[in-house]
Amino acid sequence: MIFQSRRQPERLPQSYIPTQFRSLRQSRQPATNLVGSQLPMVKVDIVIFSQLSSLPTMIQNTLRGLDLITIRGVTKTFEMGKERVTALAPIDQQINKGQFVSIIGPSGCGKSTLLRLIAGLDDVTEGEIKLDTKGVKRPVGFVFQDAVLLPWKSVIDNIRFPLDCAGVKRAAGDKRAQELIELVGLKGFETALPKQLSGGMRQRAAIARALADDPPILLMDEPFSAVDLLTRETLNDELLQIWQRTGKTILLVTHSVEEAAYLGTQVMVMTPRPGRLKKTISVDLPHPRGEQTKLDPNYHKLVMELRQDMRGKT
Amino acid sequence: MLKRGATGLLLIFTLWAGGVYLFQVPGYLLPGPGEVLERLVFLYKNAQLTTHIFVTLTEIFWGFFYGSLIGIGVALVFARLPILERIATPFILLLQTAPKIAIAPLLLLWLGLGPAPKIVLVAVVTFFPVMTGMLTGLKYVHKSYLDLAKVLKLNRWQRFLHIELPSALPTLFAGASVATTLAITAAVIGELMGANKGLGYLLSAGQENADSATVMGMVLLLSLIGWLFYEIFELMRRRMEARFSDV
Amino acid sequence: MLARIKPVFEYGIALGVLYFVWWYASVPMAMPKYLLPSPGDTLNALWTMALENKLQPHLYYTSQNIILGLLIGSVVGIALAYLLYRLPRLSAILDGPLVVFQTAPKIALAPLFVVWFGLGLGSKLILIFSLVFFPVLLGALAGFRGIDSRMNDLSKLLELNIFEQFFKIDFMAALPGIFVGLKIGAVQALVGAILAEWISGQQGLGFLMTLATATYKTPLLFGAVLLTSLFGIALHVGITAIEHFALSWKAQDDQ
Repeated sequence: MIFQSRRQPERLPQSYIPTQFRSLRQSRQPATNLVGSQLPMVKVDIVIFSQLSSLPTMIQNTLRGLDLITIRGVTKTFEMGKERVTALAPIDQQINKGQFVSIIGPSGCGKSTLLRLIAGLDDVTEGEIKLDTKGVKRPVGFVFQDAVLLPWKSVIDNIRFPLDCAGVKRAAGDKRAQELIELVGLKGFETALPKQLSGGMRQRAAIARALADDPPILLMDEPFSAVDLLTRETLNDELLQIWQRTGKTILLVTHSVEEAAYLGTQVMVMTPRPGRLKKTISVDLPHPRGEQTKLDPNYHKLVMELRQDMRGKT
Repeated sequence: MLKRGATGLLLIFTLWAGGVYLFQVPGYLLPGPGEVLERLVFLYKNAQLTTHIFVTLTEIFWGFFYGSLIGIGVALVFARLPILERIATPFILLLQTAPKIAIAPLLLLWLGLGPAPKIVLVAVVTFFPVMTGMLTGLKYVHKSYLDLAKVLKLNRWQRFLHIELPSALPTLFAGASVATTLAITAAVIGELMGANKGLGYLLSAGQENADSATVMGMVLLLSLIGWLFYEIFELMRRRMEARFSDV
Repeated sequence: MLARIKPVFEYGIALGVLYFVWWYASVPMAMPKYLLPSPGDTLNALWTMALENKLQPHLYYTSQNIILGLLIGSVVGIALAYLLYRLPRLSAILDGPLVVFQTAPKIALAPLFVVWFGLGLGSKLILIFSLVFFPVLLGALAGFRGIDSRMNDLSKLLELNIFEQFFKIDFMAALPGIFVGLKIGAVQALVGAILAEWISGQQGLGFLMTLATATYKTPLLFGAVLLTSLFGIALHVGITAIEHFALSWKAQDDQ
């Protein structure tokens, strides 16, 4: 269960390892150095992709074959008047099918920018993002921080909206929307208008809409930051269930280290000014997750490490 | 705003002059800026243009003055006696919705061709936005300021002078700057309906003689007056806002 | 239910009181008839004309002009607003002239339109159009510019083309602003129609007023003014009702 290993890869030539992972490995330091002596040394169950080769070959191959999202040398700069602001320093990452990737980092670390680039909402300045989703017309579903439902449409009409736009027949669209309404637990609210829903319910409808035309990838930009804490925990559990039932690949941007650790199979830690990827941590907490996960000492260790990573300078 | 307006004006003039020159538009249809300017100079020399301008400005001024005065007064009374406001609301809304310009012929019938009907018409159209602006400001004073007044044990007059009036000024001027455009329109309509002096009178005289240059000149002068008034009140409104609406 | 009836009730009483004041001033106080005819005389004058089928053409003419002008002005106003919203470069050029036109007393253009387009329907429609166009343009522009930027993200994600985006999202989202402009525009349209008929024409409520003034038929003048006012109120109530229906999806607090 623990793949803690700092051996250099031996079976593969150095050149095989993508450069980004090399640099990653170099930047990573033992936890003790970061924490100092006041805190007990944190031993975390993590795998860094640079150490892919230390995994059993079978798993390696499976993972490599299933790269769904490939981010290669992607940067993003914005022009603000005459100044150029680097929102994203070169970033490389591979995300496999079926993963639940949490992306955390302080404000201004470019995590939302990265998500928007993957969604194709903004264009990359350099590099490329490849989605291995051949034949899928609309590969990503997107959930915004606020629900951004069309306020003049009822819940079911909002959820069916992507299907309507794609020219799906009304009957088929209604059937699909009804399934999704049940999936997100909005049964009985089909004809309600967004203004009649609570924040949490609106966000459920937004998730259902993002899933409407069955995209393999679901991108979520701080989806629960506007709802109260109790609702947020419920929504987290429901999101995990949706993930397990649908098998989507989910990328979730969040401010909360607890949320990132609780939900993710991997956590991408980003740092600001300029935004860059500090490390990717593989979360080894068992599924299905629930209340028992929050009692798991490994969960607490992970949360602690993530918090250190967020605070520590680059 | 001022800068945008000025560049806008410049652009319109350029297009106007260029269009007339390029397409050889006949002068009786669309005279060029030069021709219109000449006509204005001619009117200034031979037809007492300054008197006409003065007459229109006076009508606008007094109408605006009385309309604002009554509007502010009524708003003060309403703010003090909410029951009265409650009773008057249907009347006010009814009269506000009705096109006030329609009473122009009646005013002419009652008050003759002089400046009086125009002043009344201007006052009527000025009244509503000013009253609404003042009343809105008075009614929505920030709650904590009223608490402050209570704690400091201000009397009614002090509370009005130091708390309510300053907080009402921004919305009052917002109402007033809406009223300026309406006031000029009302004055022009009053003069078009029947007058023997004023820019509106020259306007209708120009129309009857199919004299486009005079009509254009009047449109120009009236637009200038409208723009100037609007800018003055907008400036005052922004000043008031910057000074008095910090919450 | 009570909340719906209450305003009708209040306005009913208000109208009744105004009617009473008018009646009191004209009959018991015996103001001269040529200055203030009684409500009875006024209604009688209107009724007589209506019976002879002479009133309806005027009403029809004015309403037709207003509705046509409102329609054309709104469509063009909304279309240009959308263009300005979509093309920031265009709006950078046109913002200046728009400010000037917006504050200019457009009613003063009426005589110019008569010089240009003659005494017929054309000059009237163009005047009404120019009066409706600006408030609708500005209202719609405010509406479009107020659209949540993530609505644009949504359009992009769903790969909507520009027409789909306009009809399915942007137009609906800008409706509140459009209605603000439309309500101002409707009053302006009425004022424009009446004024155009004052200046020139052989038909319409405005013409009826000038005719009554010229022939010293004060009751008819009062009747025409009354009809015009009621028309204005009806127009406002109608548009507000449509707005209420079309914007029923809006949350109460920000309507």
